[in-house]
Amino acid sequence: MKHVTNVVLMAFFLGLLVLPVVGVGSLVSLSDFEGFVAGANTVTGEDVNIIPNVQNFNGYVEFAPSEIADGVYRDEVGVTSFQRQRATYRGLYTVYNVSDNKTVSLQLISTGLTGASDAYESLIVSLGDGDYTNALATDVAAGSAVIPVNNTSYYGVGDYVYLGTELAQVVEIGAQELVVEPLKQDHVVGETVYPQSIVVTADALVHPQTQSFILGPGERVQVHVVVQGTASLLKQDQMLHLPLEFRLTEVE
Amino acid sequence: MPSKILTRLISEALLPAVLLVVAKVIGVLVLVKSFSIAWQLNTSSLLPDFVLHDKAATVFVNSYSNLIVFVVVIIGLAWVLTKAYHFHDTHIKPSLILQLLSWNLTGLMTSSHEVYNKGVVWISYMWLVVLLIGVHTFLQATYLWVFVFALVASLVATWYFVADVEREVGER
Repeated sequence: MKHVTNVVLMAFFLGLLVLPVVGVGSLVSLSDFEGFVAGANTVTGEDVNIIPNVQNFNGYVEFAPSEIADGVYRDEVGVTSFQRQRATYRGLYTVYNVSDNKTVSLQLISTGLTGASDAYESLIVSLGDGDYTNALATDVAAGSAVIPVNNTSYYGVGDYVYLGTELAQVVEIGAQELVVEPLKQDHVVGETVYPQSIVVTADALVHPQTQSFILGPGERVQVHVVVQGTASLLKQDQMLHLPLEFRLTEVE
Repeated sequence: MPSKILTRLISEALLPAVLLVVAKVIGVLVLVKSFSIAWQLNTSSLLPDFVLHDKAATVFVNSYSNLIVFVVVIIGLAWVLTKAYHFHDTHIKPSLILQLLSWNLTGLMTSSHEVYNKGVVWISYMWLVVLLIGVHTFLQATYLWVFVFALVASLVATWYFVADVEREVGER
C-alpha cells in the first residue's frame, strides 16, 4: 500500500512539474509552425490558383500580388471608397483548388487598413460563392439572441457574424435562424448579415479573419469586399489599401 | 505512510507552477498591448491559447514571453542558491548568524532539506523550460538567442547548485 501511495505521489509530482510547462508552451498558438516538424505537405501554387479580378472594376481596384509561400499568399489590395455609397466588389478574387486529391482550408486574415481612416465607415471582406450574405427576415430587438435568416450554410458554431455595426458569436444554428449571444443593438428587417468576415471600421480592426472555407479538388470560392464610404470625403472617391493574407492548409 | 520527501517536493512545486503560467500570461498580454499586436483568445481547444495573426508577431511574442518565464524561474533558483551559499545552516558564517540574530532575521537560515527540496524543484522547472524553449526554437517559433541564453544560464546555475551539494557532502 505504501509503494502504491508513493508511486501515485511520484506521478503527481511529475505531472505538477510537466503540466505547467506544457501549458506555458501552448499558451501562444503555434499551429503555423507545427507542420515544420510533422513534415506535413504545404499547399503550393500547383495546388491552388488565386486569381485577382483585374478586369471588372475599371481602375477602382489595385493589386500587389505575390506567390504562395509556406502556404500563405499575400496581397495589398486597393479598393475605392465612394462618398455616401456602399461599394460592393463581388468576386474580387477567385480561389481555385486545382489539385487532384488535396482538400484545402482557406482563411483570410488582415491586420487592418493603412491610413485614410476618414474615407470610410466600414470595410468587410468575406469568403463565399453565390449568396453568401443574408437579409434579416424580421426586426430584431436588443437583448434577443435569435437572428432569423434564410440560408445558414455559411455559418458555423463559434463563428462571429456581423450585422449593422455589431459582431455576435454564433452559439447554435437552427434551420432558418442563428442563435447568438444576446445582441446589444436593435436591428431592422433587411439588414445584411455577414458570415464571419474581416471587419474594419474607421476606429478599429473589429474582426481580423474570415471563416475557414474548405475547398475540395476542383472547387472554388470567391472573395468579396464591401466598403461603406463616409459623407465627408475630401475627394469624391478614395483608394483604401488593405493588407490581406490568404492562409492555405491541407486538410486530412 | 507516504514518502515525506515526495510530499515536501509536491508542496514546494505548487508556487513555481503557478508563477510560470502567470508569467507567461502576463508576458503575452504586456507584449501584445505594448506593441499593438492583433490577437484573439481561442477558447475552442482544451487549453485556451492566444492566436496572433502574423507569423513574425507570433515569434516575437512567443520568444520574449518565453524569456520572461525563464527569467522568473532563474530568479526563483537564484534565491534558492543565495540561501544555499549564504544562509545554509551547515556553512553559514558565524558573523552572519550574529547579524541575523541582531536583525531578528534568523528565519532566513535554511536547512539542507529545505535548500535541496527547493533546489530540485526549481532546477527541474528550469531545465523543462529550457527544453520547451529548445523545442520552440526547433519549430522556428522562438529566436535562437533566447535558447542559447537560457541554456548557458541554466548550465551556470546548475554548476553553482552542484558545487553547493559537493561542499555539503564534503563536510560530512
